[in-house]
Amino acid sequence: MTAGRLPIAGHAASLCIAIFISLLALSLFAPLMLWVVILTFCTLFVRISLYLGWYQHTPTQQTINLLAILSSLALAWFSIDLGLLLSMVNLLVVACSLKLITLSKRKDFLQLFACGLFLIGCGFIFQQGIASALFYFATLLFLFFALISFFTPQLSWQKRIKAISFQLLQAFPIAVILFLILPHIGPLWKMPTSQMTKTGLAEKVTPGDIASLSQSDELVFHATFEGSVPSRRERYWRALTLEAFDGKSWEISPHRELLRQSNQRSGQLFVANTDIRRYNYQVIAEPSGRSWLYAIDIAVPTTRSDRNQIWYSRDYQLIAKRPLKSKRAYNVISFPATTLPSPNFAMESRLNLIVPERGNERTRKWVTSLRKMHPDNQQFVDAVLIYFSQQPFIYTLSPPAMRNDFADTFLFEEQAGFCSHYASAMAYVLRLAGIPARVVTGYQGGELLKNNVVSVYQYDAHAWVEAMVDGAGWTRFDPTAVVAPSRIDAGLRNALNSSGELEQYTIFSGFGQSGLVKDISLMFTNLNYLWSRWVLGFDNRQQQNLFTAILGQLTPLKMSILILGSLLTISGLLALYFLPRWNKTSIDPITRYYLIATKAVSASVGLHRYQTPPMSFFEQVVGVLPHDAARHFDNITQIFVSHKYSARDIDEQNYKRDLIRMRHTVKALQRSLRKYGVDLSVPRRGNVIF
Amino acid sequence: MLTRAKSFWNFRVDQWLNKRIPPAAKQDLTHRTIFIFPAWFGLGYLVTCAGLFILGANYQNNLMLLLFDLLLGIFLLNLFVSYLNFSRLQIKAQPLHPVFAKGHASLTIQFLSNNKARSPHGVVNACWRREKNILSIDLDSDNTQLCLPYFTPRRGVYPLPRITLYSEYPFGLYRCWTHLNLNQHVIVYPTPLACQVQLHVESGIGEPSATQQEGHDDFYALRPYHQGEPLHRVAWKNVAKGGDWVSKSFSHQQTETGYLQLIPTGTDIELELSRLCYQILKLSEKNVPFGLILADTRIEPSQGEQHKHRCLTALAYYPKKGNNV
Repeated sequence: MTAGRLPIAGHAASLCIAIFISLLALSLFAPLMLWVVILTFCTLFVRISLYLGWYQHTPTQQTINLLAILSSLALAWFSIDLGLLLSMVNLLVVACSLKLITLSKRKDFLQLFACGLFLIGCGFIFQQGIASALFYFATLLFLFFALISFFTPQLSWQKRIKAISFQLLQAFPIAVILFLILPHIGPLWKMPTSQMTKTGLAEKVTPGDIASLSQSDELVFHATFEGSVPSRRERYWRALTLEAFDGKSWEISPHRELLRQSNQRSGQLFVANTDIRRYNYQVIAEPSGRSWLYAIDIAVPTTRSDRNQIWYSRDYQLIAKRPLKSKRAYNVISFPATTLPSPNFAMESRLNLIVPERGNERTRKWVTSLRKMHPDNQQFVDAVLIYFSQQPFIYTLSPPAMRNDFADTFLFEEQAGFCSHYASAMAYVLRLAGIPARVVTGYQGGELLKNNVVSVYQYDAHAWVEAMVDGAGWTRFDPTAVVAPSRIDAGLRNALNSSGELEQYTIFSGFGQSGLVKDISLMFTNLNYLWSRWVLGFDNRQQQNLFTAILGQLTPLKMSILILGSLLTISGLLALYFLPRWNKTSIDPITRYYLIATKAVSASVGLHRYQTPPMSFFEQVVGVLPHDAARHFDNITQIFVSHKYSARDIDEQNYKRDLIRMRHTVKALQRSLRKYGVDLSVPRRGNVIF
Repeated sequence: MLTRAKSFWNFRVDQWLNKRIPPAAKQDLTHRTIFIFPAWFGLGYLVTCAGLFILGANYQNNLMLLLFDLLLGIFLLNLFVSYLNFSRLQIKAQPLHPVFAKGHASLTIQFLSNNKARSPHGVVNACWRREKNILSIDLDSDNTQLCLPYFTPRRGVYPLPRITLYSEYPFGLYRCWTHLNLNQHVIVYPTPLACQVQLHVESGIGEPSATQQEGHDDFYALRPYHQGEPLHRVAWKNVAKGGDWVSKSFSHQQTETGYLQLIPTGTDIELELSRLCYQILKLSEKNVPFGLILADTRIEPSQGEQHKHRCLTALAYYPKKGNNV
């Protein structure tokens, strides 16, 4: 082994590591290219053949070099589409596979082990759920199994598994302590990220779009409040502010985008006026591939690291500097003010009055006549809302298609639609009337998971209107609330229930269920939340909170005490693991059984052994003991004496056999002593000396 | 200069080792005898862990950090697991057989467990200290003995050097090792060199009176012929009569036996000792009693296996006196 060459046929460790790499390649199926996965399975086949002895030799180095050149050419070709991160992961898997084919040296094996650890780490880039975490930790166990097989080729596999499981279990508390106290530093440099499919709200809203989201029950984020949770009516989670309208769709204004970029470059922060009423909460957002975040107005990032990572824009959006590739936790304070001050009144009102010059003639006429009746802005807005409530508008997720002159069709003919229809139509009407208005998309409501935790799903997606009624700033209007109050007060499910559409949407089928299924699904949701919050979302801030909770106000002295304490805890754990075994080794199991037996006998006979030699002690008590107990004690004494005082070495097999016999006999002795226990203590021989 | 510094360093290390791990034929591995340090692979493992930490920090990925912490925990635990496993070993040297010069002495080391409940596992590698030839034994197999060959180029009595034992159980992250002196001496006889057998009747220094060995013995008895006995001993008369093959046996008279003697001729003394060695072997093979006189060692004439080894050992010790022979 030390010579460096490994045996080929029957080498279990190589086979194990081959199986490990195939398993990991399967788990990374999405980021890997198909041919890479196939390559790993070919390698697995080669390794199995070598293990069973179908081949005698590993393929030559030349063959592998050729394969390596071909694969790297292929990788280079595909890397343009894949991006840096995926190319690197693919490269790592290919390199492992090729190394695996030629694996014949000690060094190769150990390198493969290190690469395996890295591959597990890469797995966590793509998957972070509880199930995948469990899977990857199981593969870690398997990887260590391969390693221990490498170093103990002749140990039975049960013992190997026992050794590894023991060590992993022992290492786990240490890992938890390290996880809690080691600093969670921010990114040291920018890492390549993968291009992932984007989910959730789109940057462009055409009436009818959000309906597709309504059919998804994917989680968008959890929000954990410190203190009270805002009421459902207040839970308008802003994601995007859409200011550009082309007659059909709403999108982020390019002008606003340019402005934001120039502000971001020059670092001109925007500070909104805030009031006293506030909500403090942490949002754990699921990966969306997009950079905007969700918060209740007016939201301000709390911690310094959040402020570094999140841009707080002048249209009250929160924008992350990097798209959300994985779960992301951030802390915000919201000031639920009724009006959002306009940072630049002239510019914003100009931007939010633009409408196409033609189209929707009927709407234009209607707006002109309504405006004559209500010259006051506030009155006009009220009149529009009254129109929505008085006309027979229907809230439905499956409205008819409205292609041309959307506002005309929607307001006067079909009168059926959902949030994006209402918001779009109302904002258009307000703009026609000369009131600056824009559409805001985001989420509304969300389920209460616990007392202070709100989970928001894709079907909570919503759109509403913001208008500048007077110079003070932006006010929120939600026409949907007027048409279907239940959508806002009780959520989409109830809104659909009242319109009789509920049965069409299978995602809500789970809602009607009760009992065990519901409990289990609730338990999973809870578990997922705890996982997201305490494992995936454990960051600098939570660490600080934890330290503060333990120690109170943090001072350098307390911090050093904490670090010292943690180190002591780890040493204590190590001592706990290893010290008792040092002590236990001093007493041999057979002796221990003998001592148990003598104790039981002396208890029932009333005669202590002290230092009496085993045989003479037996002589002393044999008369007093009942027949079967005496027979058992005789056997026990015999075995003990033969092990303790005989000169010959006893081999392991005999030792084990005697140990088992000893155990059975001691049990039998205890049974028979219990049976006679009461009678024994009465009669005593005269020659008993204490 | 460098070699001098190196040899001085080696000398100091040896001195320190002699004080720390004194020689003994049977040794339990304890905290005094075991050295432990991360192996090269252990250092590589740490580098991999550091890589995972950086990756985890850059991706803000807590699971990667947790993996890093777990791996670090395992590394810490392994320090103890490796050490405890190695400390369950008991090493015992078996008595060494003498060898002829230019042959290989073989030291048999027995690996026992000093702990009945938990036996040591894994592969233990053994080699002579400062030498490269490594032999290994798997403690999980039935084999408990390892033979370490030791090349003996010259005649003499040598203490065996320290042996190095090391183990990388369970994950190869740490290397536990020890340098044991098992307190064994190897006795190296001279290489036999063919020559004429010369028995000197009495020890007088001067004219050597060469004698024929069998010539003067008295006839004693007949006994059945054994294959390989010299033909001139066969009682031909008996055979000619048609009887069984019997050979004549002679009584050995103490007074008639001679001594092998080292004659310091001033030429190569080793050559002379080699010749004596050959003669001892030859005489023992023929069951002829003989004595041996070296400078101031005198072994009275006798015969048998034990006597042979006594004489050969005297040769090995020459010019010193083998007190413990």
